[in-house]
Amino acid sequence: MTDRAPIDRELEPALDEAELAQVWRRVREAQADARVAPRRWRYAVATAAAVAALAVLIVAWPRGPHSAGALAGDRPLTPGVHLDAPTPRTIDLADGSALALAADAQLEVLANDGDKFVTAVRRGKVDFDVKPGGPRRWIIETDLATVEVVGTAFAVERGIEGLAVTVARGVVLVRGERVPGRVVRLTAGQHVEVPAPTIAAVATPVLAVTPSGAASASVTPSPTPVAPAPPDRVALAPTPRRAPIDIIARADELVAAGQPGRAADALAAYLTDAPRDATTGLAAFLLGRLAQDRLGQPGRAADAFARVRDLGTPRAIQEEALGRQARALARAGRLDDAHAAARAYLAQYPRGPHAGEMSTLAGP
Amino acid sequence: MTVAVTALRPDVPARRVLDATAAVAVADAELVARARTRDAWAEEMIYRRHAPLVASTARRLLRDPVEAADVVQETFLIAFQKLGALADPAALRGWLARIAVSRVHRRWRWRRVRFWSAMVDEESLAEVADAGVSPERRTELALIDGALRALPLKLRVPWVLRHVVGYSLDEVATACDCSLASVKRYLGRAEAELAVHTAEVPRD
Repeated sequence: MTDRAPIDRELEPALDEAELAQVWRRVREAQADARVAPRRWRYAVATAAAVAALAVLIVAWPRGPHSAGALAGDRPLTPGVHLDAPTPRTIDLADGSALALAADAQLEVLANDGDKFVTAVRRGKVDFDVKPGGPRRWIIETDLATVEVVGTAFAVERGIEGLAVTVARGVVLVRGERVPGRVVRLTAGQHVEVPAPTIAAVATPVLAVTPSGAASASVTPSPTPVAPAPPDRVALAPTPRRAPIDIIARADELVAAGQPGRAADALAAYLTDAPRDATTGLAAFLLGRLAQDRLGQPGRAADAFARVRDLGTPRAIQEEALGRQARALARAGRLDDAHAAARAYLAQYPRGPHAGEMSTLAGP
Repeated sequence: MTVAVTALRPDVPARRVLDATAAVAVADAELVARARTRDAWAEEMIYRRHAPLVASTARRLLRDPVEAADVVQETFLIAFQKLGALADPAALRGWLARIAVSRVHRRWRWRRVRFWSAMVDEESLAEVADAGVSPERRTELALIDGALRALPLKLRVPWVLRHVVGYSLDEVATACDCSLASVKRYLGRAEAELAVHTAEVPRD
């Protein structure tokens, strides 16, 4: 027989990434259940009673970002929290993990629940020490790549010239459009650099994988000069030539300065002519959140979250975007669309953190 | 040692990029060995690597995304429980397919039982065709789909595994729990049956 291309390539994916991730969570939960189940029948009744009691406790226990267990001192790491470090600082989390921010580093918490901890490193270097075997998936978003973690120690540094990820222990996956093969696995002692694009978007992406024990100077430098980020961080009007990270950074500065409206306008202007990439998704998400939480513009928020969903990236914030979109649509009076979005959420994330709210929004 | 890989440059062969990704790839056999020791990372890597294909197997056979998701879950739960019984760790892909197909058969049996109370709305290949597929190809897919529905499961399953999902002949044999010769015979008969319904199905 001769080979021919399988028909599957012409069909939509059997299950998309979100669905596969959901199935994986179910597999893990079932494994955990199986491991704790007693093998002897005479313990079955007692165990069933205990499980029932536990289930009641879980259902009755107040859920939300605060229950996820990640606390920085007395300050909960709820989505939207910005962490700036004028001087180096270390944040110990309740689950035993820790974040060490170098001077001038900045990160933002995008999602924090029982399943995942998602943060965006905006600038500077952050060392992560993730407790192995922890219950949550750690995802670090940057404008150049996404870093996924299981249990490890590693550093993420977003500088002017690009992104550097160094693994001290364990394994991480680095994904991104500018990463060769779109994904690379790093083990202990490995280091990857993903340079930022030039302003004119003609930079040659380069990946250098080195043992991290070597001095950073030994990393093969990019043969193409990388232009520095534009010095202007004050002017409002963005242009398509501006580096995306600068747009987001400027929006952050405007929000911090008490001007969320101008920040939203800056993001919206950028989004009018932005490429279909993770940075655009992040910018749309930020715009949606500003419109929803700070500006009281649910219609604008719904449109921004719809943009995130349309882009499909970054993956880590798709669930949050869909939940917020449904909520924004309802508040904007677009009830039919809100019902549809809520049902879509429940179909994709039946055990998601917004499932309760979505059940109400979805209607009968 | 420094390994530098340049990518997306017209003057650099793509092969160097492949070298970079291959350098970090871990073989199935190694993943299986680690998963047998309850290495959570290895289990997750197995899932990430093979779940899309298992999902395709389940969905293209069952024609139902919800049931397909259930089959994927069941397949990996069983696989991780019985990983010690896998004789050839390098043959993980076909072994997973075998588990998935057996779960699909269970679903089919259950469908027959509940047939009196609930009709199953099976999706067609044309319905799930990618947005970029031309109308002409959609028509072809619809013809293939109609012909497949008329095939007995004994012929349909190998044909779908081979020509829709894309398994090798050896893997189809493993998945169907039959010999390679039987698979070739089933595929030949399926081709003949399909040809009766549509001349659009290419022959091997």
